[in-house]
Amino acid sequence: MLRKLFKHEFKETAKLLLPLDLVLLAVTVIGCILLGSSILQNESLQMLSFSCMMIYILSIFALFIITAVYLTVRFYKTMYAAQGYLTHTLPVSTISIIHTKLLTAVFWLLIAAVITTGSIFLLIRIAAGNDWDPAAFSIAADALYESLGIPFGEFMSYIILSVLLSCFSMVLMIFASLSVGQLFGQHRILAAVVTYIVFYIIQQIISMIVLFAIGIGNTYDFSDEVLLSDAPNAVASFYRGTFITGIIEALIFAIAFYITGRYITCKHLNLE
Amino acid sequence: MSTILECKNLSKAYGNKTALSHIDLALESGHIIGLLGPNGSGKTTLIKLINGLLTPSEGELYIDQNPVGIESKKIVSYLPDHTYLESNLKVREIIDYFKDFYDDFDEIRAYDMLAKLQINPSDKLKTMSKGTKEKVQLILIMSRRAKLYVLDEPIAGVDPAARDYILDIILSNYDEDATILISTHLIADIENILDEVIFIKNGQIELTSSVDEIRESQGKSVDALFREVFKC
Repeated sequence: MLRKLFKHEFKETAKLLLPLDLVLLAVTVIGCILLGSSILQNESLQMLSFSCMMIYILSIFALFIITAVYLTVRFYKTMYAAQGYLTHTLPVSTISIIHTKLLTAVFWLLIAAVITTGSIFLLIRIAAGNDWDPAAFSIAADALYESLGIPFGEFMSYIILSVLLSCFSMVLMIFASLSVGQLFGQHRILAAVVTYIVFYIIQQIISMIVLFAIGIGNTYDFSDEVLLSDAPNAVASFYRGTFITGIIEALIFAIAFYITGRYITCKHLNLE
Repeated sequence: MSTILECKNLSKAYGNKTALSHIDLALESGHIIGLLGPNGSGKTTLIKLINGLLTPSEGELYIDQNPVGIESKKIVSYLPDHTYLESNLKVREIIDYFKDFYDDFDEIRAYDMLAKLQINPSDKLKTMSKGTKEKVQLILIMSRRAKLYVLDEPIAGVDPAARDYILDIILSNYDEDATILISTHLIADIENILDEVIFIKNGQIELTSSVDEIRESQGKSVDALFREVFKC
């Protein structure tokens, strides 16, 4: 049954999201062609160059915003509004339904992230043309190590893990907010939006407190009040601490949102 | 005959407002039962509880001995009182969806009924009139070989001619040992097909009786008795 749920969820979401991803790919291909030719080097065509850049940036924004909004609206419509009557009368467990929808949403967000990253790298590579230095990555890695004190591989692991967790956390926060919203008798969408804002504020406050704590912890030695920022590993330890704490924090939030949404949807489903 | 639906002390409250209050009910299989009551009496709340769309505040509910869950959903075919299908889908796609999830879905029966009503399976729902959409939903629901059909206001939104056809679809498409629970306030239109009635008022069961009993003991039609019981 889980396979069937995934099949139908992918089929439905792909109708809009696949063409959307293909649009960014098409824009990237056009960008590659323009950058590969000498058209944009002509000074009289600066406006064209600027417009192309704007269209590209807007395409990236549009991809993420439309993907996120569409997945949220679909989640609400098929779980807690009219179409929920079909979803929740299927002979499958509510947990399977929740997992299918969450994983499909994360999949599309990750696809958008991968396409965007690939597209930017490709355009930079094409723009550099013959000036491309094969050692560019190692130069960047060295520069990164010098300023942050963290090896490139470790840095990239933090970034990839953060992006992955952000996708999950974002989807789960929306899920938890919508599930809280459906508990209300009226103005359910408004209640979900307010819940989302409250969750967001709580998350920001906790993040700030944690960040502040790491900052202090890494800068001062409270025992004799000596400033430690001159210590050789202070910078690396600060950034490493920030990344790891951020990842743990995102993980804890994701788990909390998942438990909230799952509990409410399984135990307190309240369709209009 | 066995008990297809059993409610024990079933209650549902929305905040301070009680929609259903301590309902005890047992329905035998093989009947067409009318769930009758005015607007706001608790009909739809009871139906949603049967289908797991609401969680009871108190009490228990069993469908063919099973609590509401995967097993009960396998044998209950439910028609809500509004459109609940994605309007962007073609009828054919919805049939594939039903076929995938419901083992008891009879595809041939569905296409046959669509053909009789001259509904093109390749049409999208959004291109159809409200009445046609309701017919499509009813066809899908009645194409399952379920043990319990729960139909919430199946004739409310269509014209009288279409009502006859819908009742015909219902009557000619269920197995004799299956049960149909129909909620409506248009009693006169369906009175002739009902075996039993449940009167529900202010969240409580007012009366459970066979239609023949009402006619014999009260000398009235169900419609006349309804008007008397629920007189404003």
